[in-house]
Amino acid sequence: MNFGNGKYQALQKIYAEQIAPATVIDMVEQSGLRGRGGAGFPTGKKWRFLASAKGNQKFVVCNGDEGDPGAFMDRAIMEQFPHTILEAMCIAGYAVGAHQGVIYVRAEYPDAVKNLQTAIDQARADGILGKNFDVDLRLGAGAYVCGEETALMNSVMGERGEPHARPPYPTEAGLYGMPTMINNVETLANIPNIILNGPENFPNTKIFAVSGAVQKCGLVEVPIGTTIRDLVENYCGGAKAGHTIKAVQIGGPSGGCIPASLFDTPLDYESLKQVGAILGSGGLIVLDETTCMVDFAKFFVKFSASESCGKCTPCRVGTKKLEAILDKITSGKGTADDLTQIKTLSQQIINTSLCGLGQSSPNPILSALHHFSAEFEAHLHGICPAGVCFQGYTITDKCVGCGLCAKKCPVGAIRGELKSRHYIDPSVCIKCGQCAKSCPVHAITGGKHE
Amino acid sequence: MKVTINNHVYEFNKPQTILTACAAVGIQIPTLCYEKSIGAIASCRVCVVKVVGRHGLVTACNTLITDGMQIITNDAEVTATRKTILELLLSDHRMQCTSCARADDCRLKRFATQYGADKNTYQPSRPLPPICKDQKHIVRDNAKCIRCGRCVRVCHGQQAVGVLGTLGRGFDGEIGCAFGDGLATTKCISCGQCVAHCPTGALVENSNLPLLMEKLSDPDVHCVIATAPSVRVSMGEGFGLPSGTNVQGKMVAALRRAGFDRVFDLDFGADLTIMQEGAELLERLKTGKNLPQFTSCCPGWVNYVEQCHPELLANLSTAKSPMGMFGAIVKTYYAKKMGINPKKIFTVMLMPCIAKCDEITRDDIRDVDMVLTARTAIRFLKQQGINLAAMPDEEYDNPLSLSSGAGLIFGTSGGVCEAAMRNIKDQLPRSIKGIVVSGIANAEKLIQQIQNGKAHYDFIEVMACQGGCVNGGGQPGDTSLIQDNLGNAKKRAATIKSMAKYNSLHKSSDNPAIQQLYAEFLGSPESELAQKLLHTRFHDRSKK
Repeated sequence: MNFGNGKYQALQKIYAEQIAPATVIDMVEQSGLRGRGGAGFPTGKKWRFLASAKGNQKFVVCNGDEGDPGAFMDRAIMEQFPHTILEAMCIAGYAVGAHQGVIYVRAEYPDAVKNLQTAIDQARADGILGKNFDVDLRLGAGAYVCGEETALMNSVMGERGEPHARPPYPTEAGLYGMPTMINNVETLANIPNIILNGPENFPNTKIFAVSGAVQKCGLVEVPIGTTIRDLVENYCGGAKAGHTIKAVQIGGPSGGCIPASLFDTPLDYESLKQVGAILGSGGLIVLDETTCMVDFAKFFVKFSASESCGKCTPCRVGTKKLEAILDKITSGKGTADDLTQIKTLSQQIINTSLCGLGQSSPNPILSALHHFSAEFEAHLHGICPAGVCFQGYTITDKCVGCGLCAKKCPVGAIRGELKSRHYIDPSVCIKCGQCAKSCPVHAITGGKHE
Repeated sequence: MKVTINNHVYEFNKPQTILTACAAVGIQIPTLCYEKSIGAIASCRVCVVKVVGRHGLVTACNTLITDGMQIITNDAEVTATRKTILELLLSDHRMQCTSCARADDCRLKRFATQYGADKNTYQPSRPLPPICKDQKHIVRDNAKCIRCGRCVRVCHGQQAVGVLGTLGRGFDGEIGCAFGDGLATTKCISCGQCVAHCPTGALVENSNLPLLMEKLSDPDVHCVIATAPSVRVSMGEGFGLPSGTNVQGKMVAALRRAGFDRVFDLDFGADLTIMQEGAELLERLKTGKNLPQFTSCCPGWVNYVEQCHPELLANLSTAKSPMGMFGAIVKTYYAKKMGINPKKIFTVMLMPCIAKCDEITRDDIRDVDMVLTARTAIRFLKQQGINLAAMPDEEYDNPLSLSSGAGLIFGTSGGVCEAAMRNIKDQLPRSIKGIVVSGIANAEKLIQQIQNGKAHYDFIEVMACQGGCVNGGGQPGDTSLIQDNLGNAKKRAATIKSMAKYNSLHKSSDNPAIQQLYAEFLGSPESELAQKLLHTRFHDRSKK
């Protein structure tokens, strides 16, 4: 093996100091590293499961199917540090007794694919890969659900990317029926550090992909336990000028939103769960007052509905119906019964879906409904506080019933008795804005992003 | 080890699922996607139960019980959740329960009624997809499909044909064939197992009952029906009798009351097939050509060979199936004997099979005018107001009904091989090796072994459906709560075997009606007339 100039130092250390596979697993376990893909399963424990599994062949799989909207941590690692991933996989293979690794990358990351392949070729040329351990690249064809580990394995084997029920767990019967371990890109990227600097010096950081209504968007690596406020205000510069941040969405389509009042929540697995979100893969979207929480929840439900593989009923049909109910609310036709139905149906989807995608798909809507119920209620009365929904105009209760707007309306969309509150029929309204201009008491709000 | 199921203690020592354990204590859990022989798919989620200490609800069909587990099968939450799942499935369902061919044994309808599931709880999310009728025998209606995946599982697994699959993703995905083409463009063998497994009316066989009614009502038309060996042990299931009940006499009476002029036993045709096929095997053993000889009475298997293994065409027995032979004899020998113009005879076959519907479109099987599957026949009799279960026992008509026990066992896997051996055992030039397989996946494995030189046989019986015609694609599905088509078929097979045991005619050549047919009409199995009427040719359709 030709380790060259300073490459693969952790692997070199293992060979040089003849660290036993069991010790490597101990080190990973002691570091407290937990899966960065979303579920937060202790990595050392997973390695131990695979090491003790019986099988002629074992597989180490790197899950690079990063698909959460607003998440791009793994992409950066794969594009910029492909050798770190390979090194970690070699270490994992050594520790658990596997000789074959597979990196599953989504094809939408062409640069990551290219760089990983180049790194694999280089490592093979240097004799690091190909003897005791080899790594193959497999490309995803665009399905979000293939980030779920059982669906991912199906996809690698050329089958339809559909999850199946566990048990059997991948560490018992995974790829081609052999014991298999699936680690996320960021999880693996931490491994060489742990080996090189010792588990006690592991800084336990997490990369967040911050986007949305902040001064500075991008990747931020902070210690786990940093508060949301610290991240948003100090690392990312706080709100954009003239705006107020009202929430962050964390954990993608499986996560939830956290209102500004809870910004002192530390970013760790347990605390976030308590407030109805998850650490997830690390996508963090900052929202200010221009975002409608109902509309935002609808975006995620729509995402889950369209990315559902369609195997089980609650996820396939349930999310579609949730989307339809939210559509109804954001078009001004919602009723109080709809909110009740959302809650019941969401809980049933959580309780009965086959895989994690389905089980967590109602989280964004439930957390929005929990923390921002006033916004949902307002929609039932034809008001979108953020001015996003209805894409038209709403008469608020400031209305004095003068009837001027109804006279000005060119299409007769406004009705109401004199001296009482008037209403706009959204199905007739052409959103010209004449009513708002004519209102003497400024009771009419609306127009998208006014 | 023990578990509690709703406060009831259940002791167990063998690994089993919650579903099985609950059934053992008499608690029925609804299932849509579960069928025992294809295993748990766990896609419908209607069988959810609560397990104390577990997050969410768990599916009973694929969760094993463990010592100390506390299972709650029917509290308010579980009941409400099952109802929601049924309502989600109904929301985009083509609700045609009054005209649906599967209305009587539709599992979705049954549970929806039990749980009071309302189609209108959720608004439909898409226009109903069109009905696919491109294939003549199997009609697919994706607006009734609940995406349970059983058809896909059986088509890929037991049948190894793999023409059905899931297309697309999520709500907009659907069950279909590659590239969204119709079944007719694929190598579908029309075995109908997908139909037999469908828990709703999304897959049904095509039937033309109005035509049958027209013929039955026409005084100028002489309507004859012959019943296949395996339907006499399944037809009763449509009328509430336990599976495997022998309803031969009742079935004859019912069909007679439905207006058929003659009701015949197709076992006679089976005896005839054995006469021809046995003679053919003896000839091949003598010359050593085209061995091993494969049986060809199963049209699903013939379709598979023609489409996927054209190199085996010469190995198929050229003897027509019992149905094909029977059709030919009805329109020649029988017509002549009775003095009826063959053109005025309408021949109907009551079959356990959908591939038989396909077989009558073959060039030389056109003597048969219509095939009724057992399922369609049940529907037909109900429509006629005839309760088969309440019928007296009646005898078949002569002259084409007398049959041997060998003819009867054609209805179950192994029957054709045994019938042939009974007939020609004493005339074999040497000891020969035979084998029996059922299910195309098993047949394919055998073909691979033979072609790799790992196995050698002289005579091979293949039936496309596992267990043979007793488990045919046209048979009524098992309506028990834990659906088990194969278990049902085993009960039917057991009845057939015990019926055959009591038949004093052991082998086909003992059958006096067969002897009479050869003496009066055909001459010998080798005669020109027998060869012309009772044999067929196969075609390479692999380039379809």
